[in-house]
Amino acid sequence: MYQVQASDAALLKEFRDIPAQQRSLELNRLLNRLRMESVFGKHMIVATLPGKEWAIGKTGQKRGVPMQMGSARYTSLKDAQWALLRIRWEVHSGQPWPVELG
Amino acid sequence: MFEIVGYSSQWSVAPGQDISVMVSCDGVDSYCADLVRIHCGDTSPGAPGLKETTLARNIVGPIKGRKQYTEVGSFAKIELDREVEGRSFSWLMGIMATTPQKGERQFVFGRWNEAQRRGYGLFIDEAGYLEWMAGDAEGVRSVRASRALVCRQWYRVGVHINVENGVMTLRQDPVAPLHALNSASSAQGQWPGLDVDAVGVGVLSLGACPSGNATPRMTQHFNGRIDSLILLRGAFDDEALEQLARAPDLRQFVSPPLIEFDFSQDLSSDRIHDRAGFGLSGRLFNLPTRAVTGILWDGSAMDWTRKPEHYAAIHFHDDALEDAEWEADFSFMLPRDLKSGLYAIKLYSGDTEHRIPLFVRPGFDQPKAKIAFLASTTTFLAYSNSHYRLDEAGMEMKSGMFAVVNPWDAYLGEHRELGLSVYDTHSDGYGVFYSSRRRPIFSVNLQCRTWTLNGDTHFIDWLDKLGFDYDLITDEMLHEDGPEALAPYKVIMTGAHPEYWTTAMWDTMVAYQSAGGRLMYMGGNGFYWRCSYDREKPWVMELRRNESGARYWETMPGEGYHSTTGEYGGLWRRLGRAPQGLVGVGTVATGFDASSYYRRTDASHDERAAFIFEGVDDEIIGDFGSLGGGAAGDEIDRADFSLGTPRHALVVARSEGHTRYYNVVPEETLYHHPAINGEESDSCYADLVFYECLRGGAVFATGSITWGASLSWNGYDNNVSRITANVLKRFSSDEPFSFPSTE
Repeated sequence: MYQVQASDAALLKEFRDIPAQQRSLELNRLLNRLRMESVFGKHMIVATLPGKEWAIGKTGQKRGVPMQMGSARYTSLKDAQWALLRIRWEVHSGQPWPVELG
Repeated sequence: MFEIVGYSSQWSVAPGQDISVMVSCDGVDSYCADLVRIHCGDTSPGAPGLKETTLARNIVGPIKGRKQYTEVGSFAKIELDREVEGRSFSWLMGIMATTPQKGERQFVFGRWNEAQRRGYGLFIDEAGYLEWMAGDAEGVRSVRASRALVCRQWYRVGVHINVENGVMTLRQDPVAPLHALNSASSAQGQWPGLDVDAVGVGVLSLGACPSGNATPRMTQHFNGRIDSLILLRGAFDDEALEQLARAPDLRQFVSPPLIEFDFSQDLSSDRIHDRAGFGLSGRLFNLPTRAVTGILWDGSAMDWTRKPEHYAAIHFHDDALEDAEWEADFSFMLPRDLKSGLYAIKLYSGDTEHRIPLFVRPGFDQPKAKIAFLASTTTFLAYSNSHYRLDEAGMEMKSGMFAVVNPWDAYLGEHRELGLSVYDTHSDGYGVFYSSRRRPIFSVNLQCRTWTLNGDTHFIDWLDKLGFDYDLITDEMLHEDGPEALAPYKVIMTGAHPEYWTTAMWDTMVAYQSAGGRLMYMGGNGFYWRCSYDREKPWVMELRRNESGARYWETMPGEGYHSTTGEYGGLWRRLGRAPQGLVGVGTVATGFDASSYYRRTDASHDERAAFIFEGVDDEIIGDFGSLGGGAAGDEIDRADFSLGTPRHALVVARSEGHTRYYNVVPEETLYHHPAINGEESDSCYADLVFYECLRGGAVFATGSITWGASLSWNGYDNNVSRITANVLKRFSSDEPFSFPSTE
């Protein structure tokens, strides 16, 4: 399985700046890896108001346990995706989120 | 959301029919109910929005809201209706635990009341050890095995109770010691003065025991299989235990068993039978799985009807559900003059609303329209309450996007008592084979994801908007009524995703086409899986995901034949009936990140196809839509002459430009290789197909789930809508199609 490299940090801003269908193969490989994780203890985007507001939640350690919701609320799906990307990067790469990405 | 949730006694209903409505409320003191006609339910960005017409307000007065309880988990009950005299007995059975280390106690069988701690029973403790318990007024005694059960391994288990001297013996012999960590065990305990019922009159239960409380009624659900249940007089020895390695007809005990349940009998039902002298019977609750391999299965049979003794196991699950058993809040008779269409009982209180759909077929004495829209009620039942967004680890990566948990996903994730879909796995990892209509079903909700019923309302909306006169029919009608369900109609129009078909449904469609009917297949991934309905419980469907197909679980070896009908399950393609032979196209790929468009082919200029493109000069068709931005997407089908696309079929347009998150389905790739994605595959596209049939019939197929979500674009003024209207008008006309000359 592909292991995230520290150098993959250079791909992160592409996620924000390039439309999904034009992304590089390297970024897609990184995203595939960041999306391959257990369903338990998984951070996910939650539509708190479908089409209008999103948050980040975390699944429990077994089926049936309500998600734990983060306090932040996002008024665009893009912002929620960016926030989740940061979490997934830090979980799977062991690297800090690049400072320049804010 | 979901402060009010409910379901009706029937989905497919006729005018004048009575229905019962079951409702549960959470934080709602009372609610009202209207009868509404649904024109569209999809409120996704770019979709037409919720459109409905109220036909009757307050069909019943304000109803007091109440929370209703759902008992989940399968089990069996046997009525032991007579005393068994004697002071020494042995129980024998085969057991395979699928979550022995669940961390909770599990009840395998016995006559036990948990609140009273009375009776006797075989349990698995929190650490996965078998434990026999006997309880009376003096307390509870138990004997525990010395080795834990190994997951998914069969054991021959024997328990001897000697009431005379108070000795209890518990023994487990693994059938395959090498794979079961050599976990044989024989344990014994002695309690002088033991005075418990070794057998006793009352209800014997398997898979769960009575809690002694109002809710839940049953507790300590067992995940796993039980093969045979035998009661002998006296102690058992090695030879007696080894009889479990023999078919029931070949077993030889020192004295005839007092009780011998053979679960291979009446396997298509919810009944279980005792072949020994008592002739007892029992019943299964909440759909434990049958036609699954038992302790004797050795691979010499794959069909349970050929060697039923190899399938004498019942698989119990702690999350199985057949019937929510909610009490009806009210009954309602549909107006006798109600026009066929999609309706709903709209329940509401303040801002909270819930719509329970009703698929109203035409009245028996009502004149029929020329057009029938076929609601995919079997597919809706298959999807029912899906959890794959939360339960399936690979789903997010497959989708090419970060998953979004919508309110309905979160609700179903927390409310596991509403049961599973045939897309899910049980908590022990085994596939879900059955789906029942007798519970709230979220796949028929509106104002949610553009999928199943909500997605199909795009067609209802379009038909209503353009003023087409049509009847609404259902898969259930095809299954139950056969050819007479379709015979009155010039054209049948499917929805976006008619994926699941019983043999009767398929044969009905073939008969209709053979008689000159016209079929507009308006979706993708249709005609894909064989399913069946229970012959005694028409609200229960069954599916076996054999061999191949896009699937999230697969049938275990030897378990490919349906319990309800004895048919071999799986893809229609693998049953010799590839969908290309029925509708010209069949599934080639799935992808959910973005949709694409079609490009007209040279064949689209054939004179035979002229009617399709009347008023359409565009070369690019459907580069718009509310589902992924294109008319070709989600799950797509293509023509394949080697699989049965008729030789004279015209592929009038083909999609292109799919992303690398579209992947060709497993059955299309005999060996896996790097180029199965939408960017690199040479076969990842949807085909728009037309061909004439015999006796004046014809077929038009879009090969795409997202086609319908493009119909309303730009105020319904677009080439997808135009093409669909052209085809529908021609297909509903009396003028027959001429089979093209082969001279």
